[in-house]
Amino acid sequence: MLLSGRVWKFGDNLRSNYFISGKYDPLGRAGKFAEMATHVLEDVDPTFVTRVRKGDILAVGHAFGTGKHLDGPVNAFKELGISAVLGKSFSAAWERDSINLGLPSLVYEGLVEQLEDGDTLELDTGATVARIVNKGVTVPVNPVPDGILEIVDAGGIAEFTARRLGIVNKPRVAAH
Amino acid sequence: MGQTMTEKILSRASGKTVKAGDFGWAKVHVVSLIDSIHFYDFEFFDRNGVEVWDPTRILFSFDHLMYPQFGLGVAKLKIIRDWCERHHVPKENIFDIGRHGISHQTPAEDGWVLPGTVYIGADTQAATLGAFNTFALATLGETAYVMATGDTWFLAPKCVRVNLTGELPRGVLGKDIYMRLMKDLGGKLEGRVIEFSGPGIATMPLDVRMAVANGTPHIGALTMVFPADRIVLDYLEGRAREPFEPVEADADAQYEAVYEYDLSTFEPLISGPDDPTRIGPLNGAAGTKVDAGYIGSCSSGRLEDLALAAKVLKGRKVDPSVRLVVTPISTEVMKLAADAGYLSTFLEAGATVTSPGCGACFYGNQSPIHLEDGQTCITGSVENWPGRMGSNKAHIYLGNAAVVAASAVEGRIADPAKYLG
Repeated sequence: MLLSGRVWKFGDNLRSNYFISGKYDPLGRAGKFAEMATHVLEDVDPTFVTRVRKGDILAVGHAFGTGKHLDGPVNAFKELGISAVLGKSFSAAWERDSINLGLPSLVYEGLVEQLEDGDTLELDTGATVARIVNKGVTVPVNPVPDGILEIVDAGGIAEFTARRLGIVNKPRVAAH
Repeated sequence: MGQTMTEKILSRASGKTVKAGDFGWAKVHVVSLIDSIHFYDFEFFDRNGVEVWDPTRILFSFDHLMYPQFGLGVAKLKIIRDWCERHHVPKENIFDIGRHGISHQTPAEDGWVLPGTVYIGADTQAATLGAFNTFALATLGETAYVMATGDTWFLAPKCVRVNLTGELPRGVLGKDIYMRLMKDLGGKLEGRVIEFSGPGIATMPLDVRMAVANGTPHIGALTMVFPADRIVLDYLEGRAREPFEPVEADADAQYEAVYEYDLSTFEPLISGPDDPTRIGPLNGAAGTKVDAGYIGSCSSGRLEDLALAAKVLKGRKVDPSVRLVVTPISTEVMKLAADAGYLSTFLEAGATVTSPGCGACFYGNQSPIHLEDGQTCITGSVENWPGRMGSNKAHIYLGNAAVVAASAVEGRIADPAKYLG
């Protein structure tokens, strides 16, 4: 998978409700992800949703994504076109949910340390170097296991499983 | 090179040698589901004509129950029974009303949770079963797909080791242990598996170990694994449905970090109000007036919790301004509590006892706890974020079952030490 986009850099220990307040959980439960997406970071940086572009990348610190979130924030990020969350470490539930929903949340500890807000990153997740394009710098990285990329490339675990079973997964009737 | 318990279980389940950082697919031993079927794609099978990989290894526990806004409501439990019949899940695999209990408890009671295997639970607190030397994973929205294929993906996590020495003090329960780890090691445990070692484990009843592992989602870890010692093996004697082979960490297993803890230094802790990350000593919250106390849920509804609460309440009365509600975690625990006289003690003291299950932990449910605006509750249950037990203008503190009982007697958050003798 080739990631290429503007980096949005954040710090350590950010709970999932840092990005979307828990008061919008009902939107998540109702499957209203487009509406939920309009509220991302509104308490921290209300301009974020107008400035973020398809393909942009979040770079987060240690212990990202703790707290109860169900799948609302992950889907809101996907709505905004965020292509990946690169982190130093993740809450286990966040990491698993994210990959299962087809949004790669990947550990790149050394790379995240070097990234600054506003950088342009080019990263082939199967490769051993990443490029910080605006600085002309390459950073060595560990490649992401193929198995993770297969799940994400399929669009998430539902789609991946459907392929494995040789079926087309008919759409769900009810949202949540 | 030596392996952790996690690496050994995942190696066995995936058929290859696994070390931290490896990706693989692990065959699962059992899948434990709940009655809240809406948060995973329950209709996946009928909609697509797909069968479950092994219907004899699917379990349903009717535990959230009776709350139609979030789930089926009792009348619609038939949807699950009919599905089970269609998909050949044996009737005895449904922990239906009359033998019901929380999905993180009933599988263990019924011999489905075996050392050395991969245990899957649909619900958030599934890591609880790591107390049985399993790799216990909560699969949430992914659960239907695990049921279809009989395996689940893993990216083998880093492991940390918590080495326990000393003796667990009277009046300290699993809640206090996971809260201390959360407070001390926040930022260092997220995404990891916590493996336990050391002679202190033998002083921890199984119920305490389960309550520790139950804290996994709060900590942000992936799961926790305990060794299978004499206490675990004795519990499984006569219960285990199949032969099993426990795993032990090798002496040269690679841990990211090792943390040493003397159990005798542990004390009751309080979390909140209204925020599970706000953890402090009991005396920091002592004296706070309470309107309600709750003992129950997969964090504090086990026999050990009820026993300690009964010790506090025996011969005493709940303060008239407080309502104290007790929900045993399962029908089996309720029967044992009745046999031991604990239920009589609770009723004599002026507490009430409700049907097994998630009870008041699940949005206040239909429990007589249901918190109203401005009320304060001290609870042994899992969550204390606003709205969890009723009104989102109520305040919730988390504490162990003995603390809840003592607080109910005094009408304010109180230290149970004086009541435990």
